[in-house]
Amino acid sequence: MKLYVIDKHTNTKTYLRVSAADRATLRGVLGNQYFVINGNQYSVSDVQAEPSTDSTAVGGLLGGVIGAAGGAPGVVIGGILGALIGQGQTEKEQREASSFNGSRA
Amino acid sequence: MNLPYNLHRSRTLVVAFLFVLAAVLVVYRQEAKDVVRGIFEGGSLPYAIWIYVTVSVLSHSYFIAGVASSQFEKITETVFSIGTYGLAGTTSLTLLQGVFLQYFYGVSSFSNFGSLDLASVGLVSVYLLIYCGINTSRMLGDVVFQVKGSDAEPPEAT
Repeated sequence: MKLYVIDKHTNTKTYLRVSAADRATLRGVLGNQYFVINGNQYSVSDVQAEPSTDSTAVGGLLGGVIGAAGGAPGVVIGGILGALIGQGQTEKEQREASSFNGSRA
Repeated sequence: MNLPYNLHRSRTLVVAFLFVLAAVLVVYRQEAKDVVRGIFEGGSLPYAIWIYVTVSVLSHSYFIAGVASSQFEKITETVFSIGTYGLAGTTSLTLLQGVFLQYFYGVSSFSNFGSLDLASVGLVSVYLLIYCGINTSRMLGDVVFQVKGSDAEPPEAT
């Protein structure tokens, strides 16, 4: 799960080099409700979360490559199997991100 | 499901890559089998798995703060993770090698195993390998992301 704030000047995402399950934990990790990144001050409430890696794609790729040992059908079966395994991980990470975004500082 | 743009892009790229890979395997079927056999019999894949697992787990436990309450818990968790993912990865690879050699080249790895048994062993091995691969890749991905991120500094006291 990636944590980010929207840069006040460029309106782009700036990712934080910390990890926390919710905003209260993040405040504890940072030691303050407010923090500064690139000269801009933000509140813990400004921090948003999103899934960091697409495990569905990683799983599909891994499954396809491993399945290549079984030829073209192996690529298809391995790719589908890998994508299904990865989908479970992706959904888990999306739930964690939603939980963070719904938490209070 | 509402996914970020980069997730859609990575999935599209993977599907395109697998499509090309499957097409290549259809055209160069025999050559591909020989290449896979060469990779299996080269013997370097288990070492690659152990190195990848060790680097992923160690860097994750060093750079990413976990929920471990003590240093002892952190060390044991790291050692067990390396052992679990390493053994699961290498063992499933060996099983997959046995299935491949028996199915395509008639080398007897599993005596008295029928086609259905071999397919089952192969499927379970692939599942295990993918599971290990996804988890260790996620660990490595988290570490790479943390390195690229920005540091949050405390505000100046007024």
